[in-house]
Amino acid sequence: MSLLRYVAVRSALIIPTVLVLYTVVFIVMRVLPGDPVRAALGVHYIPPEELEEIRSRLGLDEPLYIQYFEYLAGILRGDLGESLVFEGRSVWSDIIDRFPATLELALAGSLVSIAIGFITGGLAALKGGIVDRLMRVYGIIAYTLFIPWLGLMLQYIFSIRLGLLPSGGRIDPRVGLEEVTGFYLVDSIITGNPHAFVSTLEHLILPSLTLGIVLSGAYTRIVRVHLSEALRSEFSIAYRARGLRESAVFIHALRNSLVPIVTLMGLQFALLLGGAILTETTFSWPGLGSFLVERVMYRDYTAVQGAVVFFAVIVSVVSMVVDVIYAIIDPRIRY
Amino acid sequence: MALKLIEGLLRAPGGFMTVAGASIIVFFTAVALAAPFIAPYPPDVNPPGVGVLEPPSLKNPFGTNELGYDVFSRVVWGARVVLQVVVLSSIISLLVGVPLGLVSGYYGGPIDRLLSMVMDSLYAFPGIILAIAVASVLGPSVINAAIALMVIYVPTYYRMTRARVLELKSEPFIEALQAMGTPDRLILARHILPNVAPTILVVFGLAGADAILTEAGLSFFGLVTVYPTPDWGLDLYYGKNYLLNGAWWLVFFPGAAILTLALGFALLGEGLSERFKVRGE
Amino acid sequence: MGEVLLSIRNLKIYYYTLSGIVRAVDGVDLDVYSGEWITIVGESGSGKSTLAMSVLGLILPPGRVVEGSILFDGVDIAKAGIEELRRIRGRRIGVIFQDPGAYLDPLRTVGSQIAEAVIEHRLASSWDEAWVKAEEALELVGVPASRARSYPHQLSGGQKQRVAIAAAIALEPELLVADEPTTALDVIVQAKIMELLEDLRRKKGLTILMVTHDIALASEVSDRVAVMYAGRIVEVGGSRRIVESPSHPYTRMLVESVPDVWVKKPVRSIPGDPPDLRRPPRGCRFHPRCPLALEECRSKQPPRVPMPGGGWAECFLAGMEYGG
Repeated sequence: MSLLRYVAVRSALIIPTVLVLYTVVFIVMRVLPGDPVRAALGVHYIPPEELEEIRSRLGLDEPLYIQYFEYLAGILRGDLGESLVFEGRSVWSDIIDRFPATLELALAGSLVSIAIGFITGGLAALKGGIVDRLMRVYGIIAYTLFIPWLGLMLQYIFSIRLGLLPSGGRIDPRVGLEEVTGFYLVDSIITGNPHAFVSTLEHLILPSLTLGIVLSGAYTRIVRVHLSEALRSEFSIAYRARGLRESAVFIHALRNSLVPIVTLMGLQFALLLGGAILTETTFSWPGLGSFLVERVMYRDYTAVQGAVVFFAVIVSVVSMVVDVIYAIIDPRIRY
Repeated sequence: MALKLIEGLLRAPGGFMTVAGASIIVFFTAVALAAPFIAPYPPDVNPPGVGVLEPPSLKNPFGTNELGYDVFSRVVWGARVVLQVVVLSSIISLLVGVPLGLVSGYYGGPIDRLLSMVMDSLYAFPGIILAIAVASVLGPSVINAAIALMVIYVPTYYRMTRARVLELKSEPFIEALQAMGTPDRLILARHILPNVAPTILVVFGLAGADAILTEAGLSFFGLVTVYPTPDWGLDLYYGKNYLLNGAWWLVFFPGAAILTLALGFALLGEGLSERFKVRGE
Repeated sequence: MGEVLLSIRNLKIYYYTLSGIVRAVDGVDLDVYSGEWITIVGESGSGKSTLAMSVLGLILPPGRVVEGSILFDGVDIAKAGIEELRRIRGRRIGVIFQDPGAYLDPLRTVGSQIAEAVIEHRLASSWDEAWVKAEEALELVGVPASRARSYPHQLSGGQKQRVAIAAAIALEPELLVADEPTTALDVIVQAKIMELLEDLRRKKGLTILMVTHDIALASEVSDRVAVMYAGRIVEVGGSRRIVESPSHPYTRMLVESVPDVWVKKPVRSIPGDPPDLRRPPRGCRFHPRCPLALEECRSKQPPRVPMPGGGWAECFLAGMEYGG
């Protein structure tokens, strides 16, 4: 099978995943007892005609199965409906506004976690003994850290006590930054704005460190296990027996241990998004996670449903990309 | 007798982790059950002579919050909510996920494919997002939070059980039983279930650790209890507003409790997975 | 016989494990002559593989060479530094292993694995040149050059072992260490691989040091056979002499344990188990299993008795007529 065909086949598998999640969310949001419109509008008295009007505007007066398919058709058009609370606001455009912030945080956090994972896991694999045991303990503890707790403790130490770093937000509001892509690091480079770049970086450190540390535990563990396995494997012995340098042996062993590590990256992405929600709330980070939490508080169910469906699409696409990378690294997968 | 059991557990591979993890869980359970006797004050009352936002002292070992409630007492009482939600959701998830995994893995066919697809999709999705969506519709309560967590952990129990059943199905002793005409339900109940049990125990530990953190997350967003009911995640949420005043103890102690209890479950799961040579996910 | 190429003296290799010190190789003397094919025969756990790996300086922790020397062209491999070892490994002493599949990197084409080592030892100045050498080496061992672009999982077991031999030969070594090279293969493929090795020995003037548990195979293909038991070489000699008139009771029992397709004869197994190398028996290590054991075998290390036609046996009874 050629790589291209593999990509095509694998992409088709995104559809059932998104469909299942959409269906579950639809059932939870619409079929469970309760009137979302009433709940969203709060406790005041609202004339029944007005309620009816809102329902019909949002298509909530139609039979459930029609609602199900209409929303589904909307997803394909990139239309996630209208906010239940903020009149006339498109859920899709709100999500697109917020998404770059989440992606920037997620990528930075992911980078931190992979870096920590490779350093700790690599040390454990190379040194063994007591270092190995310490790293194993680190792996378990990092995984069990509660993100807001770690975030707030770092905030308390580095911004409140030491005053080294800002405690929240994406950028110092006094620094003007023209938004182009919504990724502040990219935007500050494009518009040639070094102040904005530095300010963005400063704001990014604590949130990405928080997210990165918590997610690094799994990497520590998997790098530790698979790298030490690969370094002790028969093919590494064969490389050494052919007189290769230890550095070259290390690189080949690393490449072999990359297969399970890339698999983990795919699984981690879901955790990354989940972690981003808690991190964003902790650091007042204006991303999709804090959007979801805000709208949960407002009982804006159409927005919540839209956000969940959007997350589902993102997670499926990323897992597809990971599978393709996997196939590129490991020749045994495709042929 | 109990000592012998502990000694045996300690000797097995991963024994230290198993015993340490189980001890932590037993400790917190005891604290939760005996909360009225351990907590020096009621969790939602400002005792006379106790000031607000007082740092840790002999009188208030974990300090007091903005209303003058004793943080130590709140952490002790808070163990009740977390453990209720997590134990309840673990039991429901186990009771739903394990039988589905058994039947689905053993019989296969279109129902197995459909169930697998649904469970795999749910499993691949960030659990806390799903839990937030469900809990937000149901409203804050212990039962509702347990239901929200169930949506995450049923797929976990299902997948691990099913994978193990598929492994067992191809083993000669199961094939021999089938060849002898042993009824399926007997094979499932007497021969497969006991072999799946270690896997379920491991999942109980590992998913339990995850469930503690997810519960804390839901609680942090106000989706489990309503103030002033003591719950670690929620206390942490309110406490963060006073970090600027230097009141670190409002965040530190509830969070440390979350970490310790989650660590207990994780160690139990790790230790058991080493003991039974089961791979976690 | 040619000059001595490799000279092992009083070699002791111990594994320091949690459950005790395993004396895997405990006082081995062996000379390998240039151009010969010598085979070390022993049961699993006799230390033969450890001995083979030590020639490449590939004893991994918790194992350690505690005493003795492995002289190869004036260099003591037992004490050589990592750089010195690296220049010898592959380039002057090649190796092939038991499970050819496991010893190939699954993620890289076989050609690039061979070419990489060719470049490393400066046998080619460019990648293209190294690639050509890799292809030549593959053809030499009977694998089509086009297979250089294959991944290990696309090859059969016999082909993998040929590739492994090509990877060793491409570096033009003087000595080839073959650690149970055909144990994982079927008998037909085994015969072909042995033919190939013999062919390469003649064409390239290779010296071969093979390790196997199969005394029939050993005597058939090699010039000399060394029998190893519990960390020591108990008998060395020309392969013909070893099978026709074994001097050590253990060698004799090994020979008798070989079934014969043509002659119907009782196949005898050797009673008892190989000793625990953490607590080897005093005196002659074979005495607990030896039907001819004398009183002194229990307490004294038997002498090395020279045999007519070269070689020796480590036994009090060696050279004497004994029944059996």
